[in-house]
Amino acid sequence: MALTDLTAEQAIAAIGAGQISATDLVTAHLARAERDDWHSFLAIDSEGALARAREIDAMPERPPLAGVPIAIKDALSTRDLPTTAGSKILEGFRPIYTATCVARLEQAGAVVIGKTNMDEFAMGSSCENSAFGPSLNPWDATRVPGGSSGGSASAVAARQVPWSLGSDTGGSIRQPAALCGIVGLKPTYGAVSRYGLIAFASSLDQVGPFARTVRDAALLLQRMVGRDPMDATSLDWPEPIALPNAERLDGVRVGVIEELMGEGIEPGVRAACQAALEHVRALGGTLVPIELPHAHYGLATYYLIAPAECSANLARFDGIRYGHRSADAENLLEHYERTRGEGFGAEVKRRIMLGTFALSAGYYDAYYGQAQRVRTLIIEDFAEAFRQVDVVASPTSPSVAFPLGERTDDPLSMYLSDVCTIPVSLAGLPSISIPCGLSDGLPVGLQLAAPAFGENRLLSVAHALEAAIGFRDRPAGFGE
Amino acid sequence: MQDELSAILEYVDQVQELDLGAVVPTTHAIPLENVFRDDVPKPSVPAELALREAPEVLAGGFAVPRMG
Amino acid sequence: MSPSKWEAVIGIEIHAQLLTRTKMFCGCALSFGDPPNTHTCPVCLAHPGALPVANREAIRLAIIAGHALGCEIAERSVFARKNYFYPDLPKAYQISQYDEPICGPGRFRYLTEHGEKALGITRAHLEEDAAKLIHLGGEGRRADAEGSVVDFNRGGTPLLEIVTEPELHDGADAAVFLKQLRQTLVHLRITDGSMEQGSMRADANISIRLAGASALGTKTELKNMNSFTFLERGITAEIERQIAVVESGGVVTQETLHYEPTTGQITSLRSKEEAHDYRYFPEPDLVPVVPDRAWVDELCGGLPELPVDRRARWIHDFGLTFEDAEVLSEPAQLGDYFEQVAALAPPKSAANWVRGDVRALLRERGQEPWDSEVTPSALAEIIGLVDAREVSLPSAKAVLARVIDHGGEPRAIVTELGLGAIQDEAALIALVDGLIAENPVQAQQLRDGKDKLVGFFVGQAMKATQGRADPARIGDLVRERVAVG
Repeated sequence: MALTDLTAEQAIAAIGAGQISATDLVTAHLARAERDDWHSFLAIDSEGALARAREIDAMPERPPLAGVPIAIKDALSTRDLPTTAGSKILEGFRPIYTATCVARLEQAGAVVIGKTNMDEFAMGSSCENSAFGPSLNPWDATRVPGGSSGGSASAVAARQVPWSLGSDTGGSIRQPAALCGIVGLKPTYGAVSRYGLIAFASSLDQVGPFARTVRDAALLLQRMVGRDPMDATSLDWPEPIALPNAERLDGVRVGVIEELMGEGIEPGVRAACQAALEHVRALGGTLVPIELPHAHYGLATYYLIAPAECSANLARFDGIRYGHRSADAENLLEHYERTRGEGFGAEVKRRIMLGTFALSAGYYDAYYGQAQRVRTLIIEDFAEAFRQVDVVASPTSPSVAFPLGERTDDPLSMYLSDVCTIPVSLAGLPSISIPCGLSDGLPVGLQLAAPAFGENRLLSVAHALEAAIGFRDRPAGFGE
Repeated sequence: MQDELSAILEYVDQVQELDLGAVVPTTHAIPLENVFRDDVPKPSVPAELALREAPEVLAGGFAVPRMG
Repeated sequence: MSPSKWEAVIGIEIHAQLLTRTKMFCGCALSFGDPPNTHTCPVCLAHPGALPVANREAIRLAIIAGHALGCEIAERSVFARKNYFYPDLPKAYQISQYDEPICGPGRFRYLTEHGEKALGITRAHLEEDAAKLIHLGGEGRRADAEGSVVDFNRGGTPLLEIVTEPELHDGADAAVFLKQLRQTLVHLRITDGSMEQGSMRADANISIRLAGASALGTKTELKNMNSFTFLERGITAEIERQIAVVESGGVVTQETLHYEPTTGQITSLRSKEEAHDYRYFPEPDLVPVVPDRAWVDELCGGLPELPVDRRARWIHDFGLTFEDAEVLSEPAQLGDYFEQVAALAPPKSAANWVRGDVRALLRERGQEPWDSEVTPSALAEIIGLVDAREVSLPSAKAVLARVIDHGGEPRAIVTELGLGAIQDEAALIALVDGLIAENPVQAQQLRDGKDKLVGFFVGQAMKATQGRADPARIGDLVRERVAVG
C-alpha cells in the first residue's frame, strides 16, 4: 500500500509499530503536494515539515498524532508561514502568531506541510474566487472542488495529505467534501477555537477537519476541541470526542428534511442520498420525515447576516499595519479606496457592500435585524425536530461538482450551492458530510446534523452509515 | 456589479415576508454569558515584530498617508 | 447680551481611562510614556484572526462607578461594534456598547454653595480607546505635518463613557459638577482622572433656548477640554457665541467645535450634517455580561463614603463652609488627614489650621500633611494649647514650624523654647501702659479715633515679648488702657 493511501489512523499505528517513519510519510506526501496538479496549495513548507518530522522520529515517546502530515486552509494563521486568505490584499503577509487550533495539532504531533487554496476570505462555493486561481477537482479537473475550502478538499481527495483543516461558515467544509468524495465536518459553533481564523462571519465561522474516513475526522477533532481563553465564544467541552465504532443504528431515529429532498436537488444526488439512507433501516434505525418550516428562508437570512458581519471584519484591511498598500494614494481617503479596491476581488466587494447596506441606518431593522429574527425561528425549527429524531439528514449539496466557470457570472446561482448546508450553520449545530455514492461518475455527499454538543452521536451514526455504504470509489487514475 | 447586487437584494428581501415583531433576534446561536479575562498582564510582542508586516514604518510608528 | 432672556442647556460626556493593569480586550499592560508600539499584540493590532476577550476588572470598575453615579446596573449588557475608518482605529470599528450599556439611568449627587444638587446621568458604558495618531513636524498639527504615524500602545485601553442628561445651565455649574465627578471616580480608584494627561476627557453638548421654553435648541459639541477652567470658559464662550448668532438673526448649526483657551476662539472641526452612520450591531465575538446580583451587591455595599456625603457631613456636622469642604476634600488623603485631626480637636479650628498654616508651611518644604512630622495628634495638641491660651497664635505657628522640621511634641517644644504665653494680666497691663507712655503721639492718634494704630501697639508688644503675648488680648488692652491713660 502506498504511504499516501494510508488513512491517518493507519499511519499512526504503522509509525507506532515502527513499520514506517514520520519522515518517510511526510516525504511521500510532500512529493504529491509539490506535484500540485490540482492547485491545492498556495504555500508548501518542505523544509519546516521535514525538520519537524525528523524531530518527531527522534522522540523516545511519539506524540499522539505521530508526525502525520496535514494541510491547513490559508484562512488560518500560521506564524511566519505566508497566509493570504486567498486574497491579494494579504499577498506576502506572514502572521506573527499561530491559530490556537493549529498550535494544538502541532503540539499533538501533526506536521503542517502547507497552506491550501480557498475562495477569497472564505466567500464562495467553488474556489473560483481565489485571487490565485481555483483549485481543481481531482475527480475531474474541469470541475470545481467546491468552496470555500476547495484546496483543503482537493488535497485530501488527491491524497496529497491524509487530512486537512478547513473552515465552514455556510457550508465551506461540507460542500467541498461532498464534491470531492471525502468526509468533512463542521463542529458545534464554539467547539473549536476561532483564534487565528481570519474572520468572515464571526457568529457562523468554525474550523473543522477533512479526512477520508469518519474516524480520522474524529481523531483530528479530538485534538482541537475545548475552551480557548483567547476566544470568548469557545466552549468548555463536556465530554471527550470518542472514536466511533458503532456498526448498528438500533433505535436511532434519522430525520429526513423534506424541504431539502425535493425540487432544487439534482435527481442523481437525491437518488444517491435516498439509497444511502435505506441503510439506516437495515441497521435497525428508523427514517422519519421532518419539516423545517423556515429552512427555505435560510439562504436569504445567511446572505444578510454573513455579509453584515464580514463588512466589519474586513474593514481592518486598510494597508496600515499589514498587507497590500496602494502606491499612488495622494491622501487618506484615496489610500483607503485604492488599497481596498486593488486588494479585494469582486465577490468580496459585493458582500461588503451588501453587508454595509444591511447594517445602515434606516435599514438595519428590516434587514440585519429581521435576519436575526428569522435565525431564531430556524434554531427553533431544529430544536423541534430534535425532539422527534436523533440526527437529521439531507443531501449536502444540491448538485455534484459543476464545471469551472458555470456559475461565476451569476452570484445567486453560486449561493444556491449552500442551500442544504446553511440552515445548520445558522443554528450552530454540528454537521458532517460523508460520501454516499456517485451520480454521473461524480461523488455525492450525504449531510447529517445533530444537536449542539452532539458530536459523538453524529460521528457514531456517520461511521455506521459509512461502513454500510461502503464507498470505495476513487478519482480516475488514483490506482487500486 | 450593480445588476448583481440588485438581484441579490431582491432575493434577500424575502425575509420581509415574515411578521416577526415578537421574535427575539439571535446574535449567538449557542448561548454563553460572562466570559472574561483576568486583569493580569501578558507579554506584549516586541516592537520589531509588531512593525514587521507594516507596509511603511516611520519613527517607530506605522506610517499613514497625508491626512490633509 | 441679555442673559436672562436666554437659557443655556448643557450636557457633558466624559471618557475616563480605567485603572486596570491591562487593556480592555487583551492582556497587554497599559503604557505610560513608553516607546511606541511596545505594548501591543495581535489583538490590539487587529491582526487577521485575532479576537477580543473582556477584562473582568473593567466590568467591576464600571459597576462601582455606576453605583456611585446612582445608576441601575444592567441585568444584561452587550458589547457593540461602532464602525468607522480612521488610522487610529485598527479594526476600523471600536468595540463599545450601544443598546444595552452596563449602567442605565442614574443621578449624580454633588455639592454646590447652594446645597446639594443632583444631575441626571443618562448612561455609562465600557469601550476601548483608540490608538495615538502622531503628526510629525509642523508643531504636531495635522495640516502642517511632514508625516503621520500611529502608536498603538494606547489602543485598547479601557474607557468608561459617562453621559449626563442636558440639565446643566452654565459653565461654572458644569465645572463644579465635573470636579466632583472626577473626585468621586478618583476616590473610588476608578480612574486617575488626569485631565492634562488625557486619562479623563470631557466634551460638552450646548444649546440655547428662550428662558421658560421646553423644546431644545440645536446643539453643538465642544470637544476635549482638558481642564476645568477651560471647560468653564469654553462653555461660557460658546453660549455667548450662540446667543450672538441668534440675536443677529442667524441660526445655530449642529457642529463639532474646538475651543482654543489661549485665544478664546471657537472653531469648527466638522459639521454634523456629515454625521456618521456608525452601523452599530451587537459584537458577535463577545458574549453578554450578566452580572450576578449577589456580586453586584457585594461590590456596591463595601464602598467607602462618597465624597459628596463626606463633604455634606463636614458642612452639617462640623460647621465647615462649602469652600472649606471643597479645599479639604482634595486630594482624598488630605480629607483623611483632616478627619483624623477633627477627631481630636474642634473641627472648625482643625479646618482653619489644615487649610492655612499647616499646608502653607509644608508646601514651602515640598511636603504634604499626611507624609510629614505633623501627625494629627501633634496638630491637635497645638490647637489645644492655643484654645487654652497657653500659647499665643504666633508662638503656636513657631511651634508648628519646629515640629515640621525636627518633629517632637508641641508641649515639650513650648517649654524648651520658652514660648509659653504670657498669661499674667498684670504683666500685660504693665506692658501696654509702658508702650502707651513711650509712644504718646500714636496714643493720642488712637484716642482721636485712628483705630488702625492698635496694630502698631500690638506689633510693639509682639516685639517686646517675642510673640508670646496674645495679639487679640493686647489689642483689647490697648484700647482699654489708652482711654484710661
